[in-house]
Amino acid sequence: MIISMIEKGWLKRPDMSALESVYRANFEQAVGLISTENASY
Amino acid sequence: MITARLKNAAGNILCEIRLPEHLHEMTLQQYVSFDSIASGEGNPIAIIAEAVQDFTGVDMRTIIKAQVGDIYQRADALDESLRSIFGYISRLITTYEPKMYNQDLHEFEYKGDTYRIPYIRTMPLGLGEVLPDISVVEAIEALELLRISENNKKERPGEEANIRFTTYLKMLSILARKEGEELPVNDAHREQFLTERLIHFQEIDAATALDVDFFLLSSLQRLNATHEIAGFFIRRVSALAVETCGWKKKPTTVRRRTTNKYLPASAGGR
Repeated sequence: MIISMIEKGWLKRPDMSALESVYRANFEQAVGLISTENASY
Repeated sequence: MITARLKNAAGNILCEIRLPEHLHEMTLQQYVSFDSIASGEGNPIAIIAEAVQDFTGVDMRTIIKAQVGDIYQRADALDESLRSIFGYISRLITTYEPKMYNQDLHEFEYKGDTYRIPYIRTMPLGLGEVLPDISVVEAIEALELLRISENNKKERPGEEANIRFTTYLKMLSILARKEGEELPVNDAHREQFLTERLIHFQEIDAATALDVDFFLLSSLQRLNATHEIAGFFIRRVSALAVETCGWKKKPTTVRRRTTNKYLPASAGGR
């Protein structure tokens, strides 16, 4: 899940590294993005 | 704290014991250990002796010299017997009423610092619930902790009380946060942070732990979704009361002498 979000550049914040941006993101928001993507396939 | 005494059968004082007057004066470690021993199976007197020894730290050689008292009678006052001390500690635990946290109050004090715990906000007019602001790294740590805890319980069922205690402290380390504090992103720093926080929380008092536990349980129940780590300690409070009240006198194996009404009086009848 983390790698997928880093690769896609989701939740990226300019003041943080890619990994830190994902780790600091709101969990509910991250899960929401992934389930939206899964549902669109 | 109050001072209780243990006497031997001859009425001589064996030792003085300091006992908590409130759950704030009892550590979570003492609570878990007492609960674990008290809910065990076996001879009630051996359980009482071990539980009192473990809780108070009094030497077992002194404990076995102490008068036990009638374990089948309710111990309402400290009467210098083992069962009254056991009853006092049990009553202290089972009569505790947790503090009610709410949307405005979701923090606790510990060693002079204030820690916030995540809470689920209820929307007005029954429009649902707003989940707590948990970050991805906190969620990963919490879920990983639960997975490891479940595995450990399956592999080492005899150490369940210790595993629950450690899991609870680590969960508290992950979720309870001081103002402006964040869980480190770097793996090594995060591990160090959680280990230090876990050691810091080791002396947490039972009252605060039960309050937080009750809060997590009640907020998760509102979502009809819970995990057994939340609410475990608070559920044990009532279980302990049920288990220790369940000690009944064993039925006697000796037949009671009765008169046989069909025999003549000269032969032992009526």
